[in-house]
Amino acid sequence: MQRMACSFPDEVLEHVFSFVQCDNDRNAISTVCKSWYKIERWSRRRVFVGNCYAISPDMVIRRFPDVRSIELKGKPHFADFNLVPDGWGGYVAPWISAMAAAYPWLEEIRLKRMVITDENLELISKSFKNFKVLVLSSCEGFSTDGLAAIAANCRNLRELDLRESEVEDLSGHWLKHFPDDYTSLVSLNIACLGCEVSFSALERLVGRCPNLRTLRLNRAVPLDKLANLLRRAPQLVELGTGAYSSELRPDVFSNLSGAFSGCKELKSLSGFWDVVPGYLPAVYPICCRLTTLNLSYATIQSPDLIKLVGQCQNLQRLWVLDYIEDAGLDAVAASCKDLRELRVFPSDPYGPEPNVPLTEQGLVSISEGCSKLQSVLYFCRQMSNAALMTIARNRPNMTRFRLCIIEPGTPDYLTLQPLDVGFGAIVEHCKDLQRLSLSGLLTDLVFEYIGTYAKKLEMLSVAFAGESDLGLHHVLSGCEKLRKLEIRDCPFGDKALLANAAKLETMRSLWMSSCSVTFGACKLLGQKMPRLNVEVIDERGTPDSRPESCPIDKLYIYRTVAGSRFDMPGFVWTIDEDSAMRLS
Amino acid sequence: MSTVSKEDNPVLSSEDSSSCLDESELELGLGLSLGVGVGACKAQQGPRGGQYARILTAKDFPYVGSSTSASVSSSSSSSSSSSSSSLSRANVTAGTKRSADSVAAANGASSQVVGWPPIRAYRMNSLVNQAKLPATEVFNSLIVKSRNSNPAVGKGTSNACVNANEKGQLRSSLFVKVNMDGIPIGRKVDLSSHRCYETLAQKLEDMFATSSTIMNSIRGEEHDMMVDAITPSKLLDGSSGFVLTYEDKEGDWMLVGDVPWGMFINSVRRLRIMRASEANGLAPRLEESNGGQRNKPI
Repeated sequence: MQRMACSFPDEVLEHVFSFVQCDNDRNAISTVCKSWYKIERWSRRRVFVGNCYAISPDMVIRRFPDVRSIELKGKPHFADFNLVPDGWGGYVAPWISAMAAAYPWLEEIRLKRMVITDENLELISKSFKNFKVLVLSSCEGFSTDGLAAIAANCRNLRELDLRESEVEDLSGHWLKHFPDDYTSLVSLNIACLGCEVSFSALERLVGRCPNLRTLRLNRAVPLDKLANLLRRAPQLVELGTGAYSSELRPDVFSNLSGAFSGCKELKSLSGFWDVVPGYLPAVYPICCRLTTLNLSYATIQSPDLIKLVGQCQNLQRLWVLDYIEDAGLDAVAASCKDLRELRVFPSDPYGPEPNVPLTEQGLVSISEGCSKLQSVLYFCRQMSNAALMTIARNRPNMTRFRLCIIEPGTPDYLTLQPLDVGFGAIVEHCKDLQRLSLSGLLTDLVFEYIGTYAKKLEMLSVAFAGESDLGLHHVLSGCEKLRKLEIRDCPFGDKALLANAAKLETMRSLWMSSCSVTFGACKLLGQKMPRLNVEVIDERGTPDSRPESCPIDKLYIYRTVAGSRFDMPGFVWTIDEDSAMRLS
Repeated sequence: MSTVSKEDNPVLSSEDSSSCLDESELELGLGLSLGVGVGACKAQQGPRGGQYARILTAKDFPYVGSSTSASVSSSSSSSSSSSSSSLSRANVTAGTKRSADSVAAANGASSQVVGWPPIRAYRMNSLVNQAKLPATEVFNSLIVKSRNSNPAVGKGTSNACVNANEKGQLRSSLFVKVNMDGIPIGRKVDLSSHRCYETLAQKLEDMFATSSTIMNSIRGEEHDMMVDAITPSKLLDGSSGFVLTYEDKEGDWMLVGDVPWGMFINSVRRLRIMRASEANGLAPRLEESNGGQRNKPI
């Protein structure tokens, strides 16, 4: 048998392997035998590193010598909500330097929550001759100067996607750096940019790139210029408008409406800042083809939303503000039978009182009417166990369920009980649940349900919940597939953490902030678990200056084969095996 | 993975929330325990409450009809194994807003808590920059704006935003970057959590006192730049050798403290803790004898 496995020439095996793209499968292939390991590592073209500190660039390069596409993630998810102090880390620089030397044929770089500078961007633009795809998701540290370098030097660029990154806007002229003979743009997402980009340059760029499929404009692009762009790119599949407002004028309207009608391939719409409802009908002609609609910046009222969404019978993904109201969600449930994903964002998250009639009822309606619903992110102000149980029974195919009841500790508004049994029903009925975010009044019981039923759960977010270490223990000991756990403001301390120390090596990361973990426990974990980095993040100064039993502020634990990192700022402490507290 | 299960050990029964993972249960093959440290903790356990505030848990947020008392059971403990879990009640408030005050103050408690509700900054900025007015009013105000000025929406607050704030309807975090001369890594501070210059200055001093002393201790010899640790003396009066400045919407650098707080909030884009020696021409205070030119009026 072994003889047969090795009897194919390497080229044949490599060809067979090329049909296997999934990372897990390729990892499995590499464990079959030495020869397969060797062939597989030489032919792996795409690498995903979920935590940039879990491994060093050199280790990746040593194993996979000819990578064309790399994806890296940096900061923990809670950095999105300002819980990770600035300067914590996530610098891509060492990766870019190493890859510039080792991967001259690198084509794609995708980064999430990382710090990338203009120098890094310039190095990318000059090091990789065949560079095609740059996706910077929630990144920061660079300016439009860095973008200019990319535009000027990357002759084969297909994709430039800055989704939700924080870019220092020095000028809109960077767009002019695309050479006149550059025509290969397929996807451009500049929605996060604050400044005006040079519109004439944009028009010319759009006009000369026949393969452009995705164009996400920023708010500064005025509505009356949109028609011109659309007429130059009628093949667009995904469009993000700029500000959707202008004086209501029939000529502007009909121009826009005609331009939209000409886009026969358009399937996804977003943008819609500052919407003037009078202009919404301009998109009606294409609504029936839309599969994705992001109205989460559109501050329009329910009747206008209903008129629009009611025409989108093929909608699969809808993002919207709570202005849609329960009534609007009823309409969605009736019209959008193919809906897979719903996100409802709050229009007034800090107001003490509800400002719109959006309650749990809207979500219940959707769960009843949309049989393909799999993914939910829902902000609301009231919830009941009954509603959650109904949703769970209606939608056992749910895979992502994130509920944010805006006021921490809100109980079932009908019974004033905790929402334990409601969420318990969710994990019990939705057997394929991969991601869950909890909110409302919750005791240790909900965690017992999660530990018992949520066997496929990979990511769990917890805030202001639980009563004791038992809660954390249930999750760590019960959720077999857990990879990412993030917790804030819960009374979880050392016991569950230490009792489940080995579990932490099977996960990508654990975040705990404003809990009851002591520095003593952190030191113990750091000493005993060499393959974990235990980072104590505390802006009050060195934890040694307080009693060892004093709770630390923030804790980030992640598995790594690269040892402690060298770029920690002054407010991050880590513990190595010598049990001496180490600064970076 | 822990093999302790509910059936095996009545201590873990969830009905009895005051039970806890007994010390001995933690000595599992794969688990760790604090052991000696626990005893030491007991000795150090001071009077409850001490100088620390509590961790806020769900029970701290009052709701209508609550029948539970306000007593917080954090990591519960039996009498014999108090350990660090009971000290979880004692929690030093970090520079965040988890103080007893904010609990008392808030029946909109969420407005005081960092990062809650979990909405990303760019989305909050977008909401803040759009008026929460009925559509027609938005339309009218936009007509006025488009006639008066260029339609580009900058990073600063728009008119609509100011209206919303004055109505008290919408508050958000206002994180701005802060850089200090001599320290390569910048920080961010949430201006909306402050009401006056003094608390802001104090917060910045705390933030950068840590950074600068640590920077000194690690990199003292190698680092070329001499970073003086900020002493308790105030940033606002420049007596520490540094002054606090900010960049306003028009891109000019101004001294912090000259204008009313509300005006400052509406025009600040970022902060810089500047060496006093470099702050010439900015601050009348530093050039009193020269009668230096006043900052341009806002």
